[in-house]
Amino acid sequence: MRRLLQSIIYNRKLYDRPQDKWICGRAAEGCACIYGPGEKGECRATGQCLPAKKNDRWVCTRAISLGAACEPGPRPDGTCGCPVPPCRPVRSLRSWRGRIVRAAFVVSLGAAGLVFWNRTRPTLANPGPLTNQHAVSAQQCNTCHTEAMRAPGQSRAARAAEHDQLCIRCHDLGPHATSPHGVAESELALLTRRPPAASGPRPAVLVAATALGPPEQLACAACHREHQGADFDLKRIADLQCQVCHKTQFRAFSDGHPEFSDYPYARRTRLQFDHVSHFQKHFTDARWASVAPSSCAQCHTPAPTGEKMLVRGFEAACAACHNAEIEGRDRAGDKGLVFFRLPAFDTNALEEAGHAVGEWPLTAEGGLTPFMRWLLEGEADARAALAALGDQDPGDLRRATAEQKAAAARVLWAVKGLFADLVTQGQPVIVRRLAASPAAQLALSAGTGQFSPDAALAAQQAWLPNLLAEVAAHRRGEKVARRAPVVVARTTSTRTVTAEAADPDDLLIDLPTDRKSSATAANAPVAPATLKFDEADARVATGGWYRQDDTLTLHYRPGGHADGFLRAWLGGTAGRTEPAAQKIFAQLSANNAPGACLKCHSVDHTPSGTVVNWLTSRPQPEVRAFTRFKHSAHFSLMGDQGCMTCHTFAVGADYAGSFGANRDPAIFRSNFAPMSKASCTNCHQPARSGESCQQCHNYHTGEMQVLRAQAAALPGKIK
Amino acid sequence: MNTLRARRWLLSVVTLAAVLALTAAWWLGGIALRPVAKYSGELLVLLLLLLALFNVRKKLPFLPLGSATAWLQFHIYAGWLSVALFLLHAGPQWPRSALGFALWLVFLSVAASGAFGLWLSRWLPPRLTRSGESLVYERIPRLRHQLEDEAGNLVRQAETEAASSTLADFHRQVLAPYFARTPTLFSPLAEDDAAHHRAGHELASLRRYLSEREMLIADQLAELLEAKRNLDAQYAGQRLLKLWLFVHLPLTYGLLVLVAAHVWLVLHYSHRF
Repeated sequence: MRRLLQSIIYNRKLYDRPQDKWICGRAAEGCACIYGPGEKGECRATGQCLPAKKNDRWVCTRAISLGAACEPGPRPDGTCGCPVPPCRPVRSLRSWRGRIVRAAFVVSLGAAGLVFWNRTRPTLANPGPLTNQHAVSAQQCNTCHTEAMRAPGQSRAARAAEHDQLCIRCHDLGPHATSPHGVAESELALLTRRPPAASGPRPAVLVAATALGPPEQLACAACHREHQGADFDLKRIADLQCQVCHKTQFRAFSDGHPEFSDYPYARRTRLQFDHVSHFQKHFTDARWASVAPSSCAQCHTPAPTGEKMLVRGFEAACAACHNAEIEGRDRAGDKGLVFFRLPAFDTNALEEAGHAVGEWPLTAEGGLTPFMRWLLEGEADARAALAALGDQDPGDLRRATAEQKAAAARVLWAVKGLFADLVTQGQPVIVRRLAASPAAQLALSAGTGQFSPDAALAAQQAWLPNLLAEVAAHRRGEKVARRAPVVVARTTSTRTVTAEAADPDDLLIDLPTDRKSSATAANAPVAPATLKFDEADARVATGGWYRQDDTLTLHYRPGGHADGFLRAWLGGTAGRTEPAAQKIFAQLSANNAPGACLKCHSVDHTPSGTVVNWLTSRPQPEVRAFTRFKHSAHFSLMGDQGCMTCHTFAVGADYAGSFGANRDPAIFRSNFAPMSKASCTNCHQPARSGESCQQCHNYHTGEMQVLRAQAAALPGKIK
Repeated sequence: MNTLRARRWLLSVVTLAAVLALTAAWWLGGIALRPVAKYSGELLVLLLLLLALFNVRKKLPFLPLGSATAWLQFHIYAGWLSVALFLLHAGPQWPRSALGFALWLVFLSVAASGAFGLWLSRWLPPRLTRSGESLVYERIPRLRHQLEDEAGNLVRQAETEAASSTLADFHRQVLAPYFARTPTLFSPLAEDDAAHHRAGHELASLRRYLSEREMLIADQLAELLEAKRNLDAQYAGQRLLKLWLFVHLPLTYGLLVLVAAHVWLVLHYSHRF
């Protein structure tokens, strides 16, 4: 066995100093000096020992490991007799390691310094490219990471809120932008009071995640993670993340999602159209069978986006059966609306009370029409007079007080003034008075119904020939002399009107020549004396104004579907509390009213007021619903039943009961059965069409613009 | 099961449990829309500081900060935990920023060098013990020099006594380069003894040309060859045990600096922290 290389005898060993920075250059040769290099790596070698002076002699102190006392011994001057030639010390391993560590530290500090330098920070510290959309709008870090947000002392919540506001500057998320689903807290509480029940157990992972409690703050960035690359889908979120806030939790759409309760029929249809009665009763009726639709597509068509199914419109879907009804062709009796009337006034009582009334027809009957009352209330004086008159019937003032008689006289002159203005000024009078009335929101121009001043002129000449002079005098403050009561001849009947064969009893023939000529002026165009007049309302079969002399009334006949006059007055009076408005609305909304508008069009109470749903449901790009469905993507999946593969009738449902006096669109019983989840889960499974939450649901819901225009970003010229 | 192995099992299980718990917390936190990146980042910074304190502890042996063994065990298992936490924190995607990439690269390098060092410190020492006499690393150059001298002296002795230059020529051509050589850096991993075997084989082949006196000296040279083999093994092994720290430590300091920059950026720019 070979001897050991290292001596185990303690005093034969060299004293190693591995912690030192420097090692003797001769250590590898086995003849390192005992002093070793200095702190800075300088050689300190002089000799193999430092001789010690004992008494007056120098004694060698060389270590035993170096051979103990040397033979020459110390020199007389006390220096070592075995001098050691100087060496070039080398760095120890430990020293090299320290130097490398320091170098790495310095290099790292330099690299980190670049991060703190404003010029290189955006390049080096940017955690990743923005999505394409944001890369265009946010070219500087400060666009999103504002100085205010980085202000010291800002709480995390404040920073997140500040950042959210930056998001909302461009992305309109409605009034409750930071609330879950953009829904107001009160509404959210209502929705979560009775959450729909899941049909399976809660997934354990959601139980555990929910146990952490709701997120303390739902900042935009909680879901939308930027700096993930240009093509990153910012809207991507896991189904489990969708559910963590929900009270109803389930495994998947096909496993536990609550059954649809009223989807997609939660909201009342804007048109009252009973599919069941139409399909089962009317379309099978021999009278209508030839014009009845043979497929759903005849009445419905997908919107350009493919999502909503639209009603093709009245002409395509309804007109074949309902046009005559709307135009009033089948209507018994008067086909128009009484817009203006010369109401009955007890002129004798007024004259006796000292109120000059001028001429007034004896045959005047009835009171003010609601339209007249509305227009009169547009004038302060008339409004005051009507208020003073109260419930007193102006046609019988025998028991009226003096004040009531005075008020009746003022009302009479207000009616005369209105009539005169309508004759002399025409439509602007209606516009002006409507604008001054509480129904200012009424579509003013449409509200005139293209009023015919000529029809009014003819009526005035027939009913009150001196009206214009009288009103002018009254407005000048002159007393108007009493005139003989006007007797109006009927001129709008179907009877033959001939000069020769005129009824000898007709009072008109006894009138003075000038009166007679003016009263019959309306008949002037009727040249051949042998011709007959049709009924006045029949002569405006496609809509217009006509008068009835026997009732002293001026009528408007609607001009078919979507008549502007009816739309304006129904829309303007819906939901109003003024008695006149309520009377107008009640008159126009009756099922037998001309036009029969509200027989089909529903009326909704909304937070912004009461509205008549003139249009069927339309795509609203600015409204994001919670659930979305693309009809066009599913057409190819329809079976033999067509649309009824999914939309099945709910025979017996009280569909009509949802309309009528009900103004709440949320109260609805559809005549279609709610959709079945099973009809979706046939395809919507993980391995087939997918079943992620976001396939059918939007998180941000409500009314919002897609992107807010930033005025500051526009070029100066078009700011 | 001995104490060491039991401890290793226990700490491994505890670490694994911690990793699983952190992963579950990360997953659940993500589902619950919590800022898990913030939480994991804070925990990771804390862990890194504690891991770095191990070096400080070694520099302050006089302070009662617990035994070095306990610190080493903590360093090892907390290191594994930090790797798992880092992978959760950084996510599966490739870093997109220069700083992020540098952090990612440096962290993984630190972790990899640490893991390599740990494996080396477990794998190499038994082999060095089996190799032969254990030597102090700092003395090895001197011992190599001593062996060179001894071999030279033997050859000169053979040349004088046997009046033959056979061994002298052999020494000049084969032995002198072999005794002067230092092993390559990773030779312990390859268990590379080729140079030793080649020199020994050539010495054995030379014997047929040697006289009896030279044969005796050749036997002594063979012993020196074996000593040199052990010397090389000890030198290469111990050098490797020291050199992995030349990667681990500098990168650790670099990592701490980059982490500090990262934390500043996050606190400065992020609106969720």
